Amino acid sequence: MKKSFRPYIAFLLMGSLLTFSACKDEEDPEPDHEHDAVTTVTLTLTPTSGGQAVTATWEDHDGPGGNAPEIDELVLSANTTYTGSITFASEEEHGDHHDTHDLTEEIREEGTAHEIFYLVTPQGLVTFNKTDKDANNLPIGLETTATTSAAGTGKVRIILKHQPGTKTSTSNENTGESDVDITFDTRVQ
Amino acid sequence: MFRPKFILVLLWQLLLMAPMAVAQGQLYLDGDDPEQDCGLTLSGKVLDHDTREPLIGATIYIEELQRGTMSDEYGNYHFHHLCRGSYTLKVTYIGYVAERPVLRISTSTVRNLTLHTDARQLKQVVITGGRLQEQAQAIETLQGRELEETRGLSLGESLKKLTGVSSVQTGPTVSKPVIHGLFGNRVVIMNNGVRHESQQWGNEHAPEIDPLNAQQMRVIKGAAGVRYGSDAIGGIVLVEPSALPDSAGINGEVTLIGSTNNRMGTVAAMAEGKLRQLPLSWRLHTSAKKAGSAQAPAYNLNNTGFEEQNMAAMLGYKQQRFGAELYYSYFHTKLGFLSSAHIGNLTDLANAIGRERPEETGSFTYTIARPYQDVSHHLLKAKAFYQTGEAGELQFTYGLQQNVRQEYDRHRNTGDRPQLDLDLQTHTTELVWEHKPVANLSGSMGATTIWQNNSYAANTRPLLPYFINTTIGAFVSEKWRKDNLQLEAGIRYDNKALDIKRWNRTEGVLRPSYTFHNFSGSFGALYDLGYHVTLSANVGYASRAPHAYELFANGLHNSAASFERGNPELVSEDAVNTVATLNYHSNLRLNGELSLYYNTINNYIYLQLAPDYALGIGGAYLQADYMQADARFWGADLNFDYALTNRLTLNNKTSLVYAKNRETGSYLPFITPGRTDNTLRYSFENKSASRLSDNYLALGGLYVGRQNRSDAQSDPVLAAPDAYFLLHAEAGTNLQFGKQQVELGIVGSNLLNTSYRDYQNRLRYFADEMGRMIMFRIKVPL
Repeated sequence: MKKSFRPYIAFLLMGSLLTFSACKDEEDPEPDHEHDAVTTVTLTLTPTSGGQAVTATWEDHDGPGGNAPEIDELVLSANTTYTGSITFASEEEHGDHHDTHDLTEEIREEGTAHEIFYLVTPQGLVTFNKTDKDANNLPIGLETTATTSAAGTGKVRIILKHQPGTKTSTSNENTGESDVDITFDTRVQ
Repeated sequence: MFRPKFILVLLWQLLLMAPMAVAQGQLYLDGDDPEQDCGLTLSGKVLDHDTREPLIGATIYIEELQRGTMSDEYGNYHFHHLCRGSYTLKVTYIGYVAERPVLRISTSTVRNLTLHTDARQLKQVVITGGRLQEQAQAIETLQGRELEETRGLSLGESLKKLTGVSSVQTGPTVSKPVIHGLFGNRVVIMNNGVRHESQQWGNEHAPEIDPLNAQQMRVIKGAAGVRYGSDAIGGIVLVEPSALPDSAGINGEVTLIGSTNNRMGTVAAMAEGKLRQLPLSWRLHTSAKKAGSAQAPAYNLNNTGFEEQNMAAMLGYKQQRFGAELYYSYFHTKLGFLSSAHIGNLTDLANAIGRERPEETGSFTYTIARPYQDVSHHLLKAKAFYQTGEAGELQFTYGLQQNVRQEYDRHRNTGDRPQLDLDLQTHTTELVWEHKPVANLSGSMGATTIWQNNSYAANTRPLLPYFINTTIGAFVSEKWRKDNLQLEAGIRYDNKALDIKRWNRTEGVLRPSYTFHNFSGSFGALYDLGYHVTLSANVGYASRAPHAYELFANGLHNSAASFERGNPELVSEDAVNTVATLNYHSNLRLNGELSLYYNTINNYIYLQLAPDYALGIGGAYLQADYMQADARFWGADLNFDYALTNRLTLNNKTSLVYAKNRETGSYLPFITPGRTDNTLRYSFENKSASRLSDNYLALGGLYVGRQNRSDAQSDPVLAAPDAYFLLHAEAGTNLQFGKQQVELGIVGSNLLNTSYRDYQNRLRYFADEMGRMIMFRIKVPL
């Protein structure tokens, strides 16, 4: 009996050794950030007649929830035509340094699967026209012209839609998945 | 507190027994020619002459009729449809002297048969009874033909064959078992004796287990915390491969499965053997599955293809007193998600729900695009047992598991990085001592440990924080049996330490830690009311500590368009579960089981949609918070077979679940609607000249009611879908080619190609369920 007890003891020891040796070293989590998630949208409007460009930024570094996003007000002049461009970036904070990864070019390259929509309330406060085209000759919306008329206040809602295989000449802001859906309070003066 | 209820339950069962007794009366009346009087029954017990102990598994053979039977676990035996006359019985049992009593029968007779021990032959023998009810808890087993019919389906889909078990689905590919309305962390899955540890908090995370490697799947319904861990509030699923071969030689088996609809193909192969020189046996099992996108009756379910690869190797060494076993299994799956169900924000959700059919239907393809999951699971198990002399058996089990879950969202396809990448490592140990019966008492005691480390890859979504979970538990469970009564009781204590590490933008790394003390206990009684009826009742108490996800979830769940937030203040949930079961067995025509249960769960943890939205750059999301409330679950399971003729049997499986939040009186979300499945099965007679044997044909219908117990509180996004009825059919045969045997089977589901949506499918907002599917199966033993 004594002899046959040994394999069991050996087994138990083996098991406990495995348990202890396999414990991982202490590791700390990285700062919370999802790679390549859009954190920053910048709309730049340059008057065609020359003059100071207007920018408005929508920033939310920690994703939905958590800290509230920082949103600029978009302030434009009445009866003016602007050349518009919009950029999307992913910004990351790694403790002491800050990385910015511009996603605008990737969206342009995948233009056949993306479209940006500009929805303005009240209608006519600002009118956006998309001036860029994808490989299928459909608008993308990274480049625009924006025209204002009378003074007033309202909102500009900008939606970046991911429409893989569903982008057509009739697709709209209800097609596909929203990568970005933000709103700027807007004043035309 | 529950005594009056218990009496009510008993009364209810007595009421139910009445029609059964009537049915049985008819059975004797509608025998053959009444003048011949061939409807007689001979029954009784086989007993040890000296101790009057029942003998389990004794053989009783009527020589004149060449008919035999075996005594059940209470020593009972039965012969039905006997004619008047004189019969010679041959009663045999290992270790006893055979008897040949001659009986003259003119009416139905109860006759006890006694045997004398044979001192010369007395050796240790193990007899397994044909029908064994060992526990007072309700248990369902999936094995044999019924298990074969599920080959090719996932674990969650296979278990739906059992009464009281349903599944929470995410599209056609992900299915999680639900027991009596409870699922996820409340259902413990034991995979080959090791607690399956993966990211089970997620409703769209299916168990990473290959059902093709299982010979038997058992479900213990109701709180069963004592043996497997106090978190088993809902129940236990035990997935068990067959035992290693005990005779020398090499065997093998190849199974091929193919189906219509998603054009799934599965290959599984097994080889096993035992060495001649050494008490060493082994088995290798492997399977691979590939399926394309599933088809709803009206459209293609875009991107719902999947693939799966499995491997398992087992090595066993067994001597009389000592044995050891080494087991390794690997599971890998890549499964696509319905593309139009992966939505961005609230506006997208409203658009998706508003559509008649999904936005992208595409056409059939095996290609899996984003969004998809890629999950792998490794399990290494080492087990040893040692017979501690006359006292019992000592068992030690060690398990090492690694679960890697990667989820690829459907954002811009920049790079091939996953957006969610979780790594969970778990070590489990278990030391159990099963003692030999002392007087009428038998049982086991043991200690278990779990050590678990969860982390996520850098630059992926921190949906679940880093955590280390250390759980230590100890239990004692004893069973006392005398005559017709069996009592059982058990108690367990678990100490769980949870150390969380999470990164906070303003404060850096936070390290909250928790200690939970969880008790569980059970008390059960099993009473054999006579030759055909067993009554059992069980009261179980289990207490489940909140999971790290429930405490600290923080992130976007894309398929639900919701932003989920944990609640660090949660406490353990406590469940008291009462089950009463009436088992009517060993009858010629009608056999069945009825179980009633009542489950109160205090501090039930659930996800509640909040009235405010989470605002992000992608727009507004629904916000869901973990909350606690006292809840109540109750219901009934009925399962019976009625033999219309010797060859034609009707089977009914019905289950009802009710659940309520006791604090607000409102309904709980995701509770299984009432369902009933009725199947007619015809088994053909085996003809000795034929190449075909064990042929059968079955046709059945599953009816699932509408979940009327839902309201704007439980289902704020979309009301419960309508009831549905599905037709299914099965057929099988054994083919003999010379010496080679081949098993063939066909299973057809949703034969009428009905368009429907299921309440417990998370994708019911977006798309219909799968249409007609016919699955073919060939098994070749080598």
